[in-house]
Amino acid sequence: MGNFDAAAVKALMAAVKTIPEKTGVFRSSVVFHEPVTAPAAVPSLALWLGPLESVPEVSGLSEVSGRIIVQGRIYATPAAKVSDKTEEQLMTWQSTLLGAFAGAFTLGGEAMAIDLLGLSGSKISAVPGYVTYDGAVYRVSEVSVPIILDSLWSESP
Amino acid sequence: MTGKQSGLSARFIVGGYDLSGDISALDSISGGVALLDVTDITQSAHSRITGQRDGSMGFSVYMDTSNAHPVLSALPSSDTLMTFLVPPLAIGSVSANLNAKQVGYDPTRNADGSLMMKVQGQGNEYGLEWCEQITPGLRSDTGATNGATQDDGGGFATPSFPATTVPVTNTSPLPATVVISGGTVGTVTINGASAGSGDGTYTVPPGQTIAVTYTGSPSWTWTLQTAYGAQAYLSVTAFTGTSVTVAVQDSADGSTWAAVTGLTFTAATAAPYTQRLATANNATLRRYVRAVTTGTFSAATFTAGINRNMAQGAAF
Repeated sequence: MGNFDAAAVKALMAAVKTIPEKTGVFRSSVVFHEPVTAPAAVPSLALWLGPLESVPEVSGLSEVSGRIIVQGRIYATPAAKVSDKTEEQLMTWQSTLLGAFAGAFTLGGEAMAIDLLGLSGSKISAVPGYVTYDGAVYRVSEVSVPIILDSLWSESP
Repeated sequence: MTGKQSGLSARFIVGGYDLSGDISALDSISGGVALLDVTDITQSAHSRITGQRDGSMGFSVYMDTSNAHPVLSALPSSDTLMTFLVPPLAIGSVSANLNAKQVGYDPTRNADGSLMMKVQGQGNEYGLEWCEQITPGLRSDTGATNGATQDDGGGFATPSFPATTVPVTNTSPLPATVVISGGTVGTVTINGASAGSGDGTYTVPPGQTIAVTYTGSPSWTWTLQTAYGAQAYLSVTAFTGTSVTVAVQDSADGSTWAAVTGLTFTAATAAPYTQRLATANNATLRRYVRAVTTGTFSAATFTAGINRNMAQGAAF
């Protein structure tokens, strides 16, 4: 990958979004922005941009490589409907999602790698929790997908 | 894929056993020739010549009594082939191969509760060889199969004949044998130096140029190949059937194939099975290569790699 320009960004985001869509789990929706309203149906998945920063471990003498963390949230169910089954389902959805990213860790060649094991210090993860939307509490899982990108920018004095 | 890559999805095969899932880290892979110091009293800096090749591989492995332990705890005194398949697991990707003696299977029970073994392989008879994979990692055949084609020419296409004295670069990774015919051909230069004159056969190393002084309408053919032999490695990790024979074939055009003399492995009748082969080091290896299987079997899982010698007198 050369400079991380608009075309590269577009291709990367499309490649990232395709992975959860292909799992078939989030049939309700997969969106690439953080919603401000409650999901229309569950389970659903929202992805949005997290920090973009350089990664010295994979940068060269004249090129900067970096990591962008794609944040995400799996919306499982309203908290009022949480049951033992909900937890089982959420665990399954988390595993399916992370497994799908592990199974396509170069995103079809768009990235050097999804950081599965913490090469850049931050590794892929999913952390269950609760969020409030429109006065309703939802059982969710906060997903973090660090993506290592090769040669984002060229150095020049 | 181009650019930097990670080590995710790598594989490590030991003696025909795929132990990848039990290996936590490759601690070292080293190889090359030793240097002999031949400095005499008239010299003010070290003078060195090359000595013997060597190689070693070291890795850390988890205790797994169902997979790695029975293989490694045997501490075999015979040679064992160690193969590191570098991702992406695809035709043309890199692998490192070492005909080794296994040294050690030494456990450490750490304070954090982990139980790790350290294993070392020291080269025997041959040094470490970096090969290209001619199977996409481990390949599973269910019958006789012609494997996918590896183009060692990197997609090079014969250039059109240039205007007189205009240089043309061999942009392929392989030497090109250029045969010029027709027209009235004068001096032919390779990388700016005269290489002869008139119609005939000229060799253009990769990255170098050829320029022809001529009148009329000469033409040329380019053939990419090496003439310094090759070595190949095979590891069969799973097998069901009577026997499977793996052979390396080469081709000038990617469509008409022939077995490479010296690179047909002995038929495997069971797994695990490993073998190293080498041709004479003046053997021609044409541009395209592939791995083919023949025999009577219903399932064979294997990986093969080839090291094409790029220089005269290569010996591993």
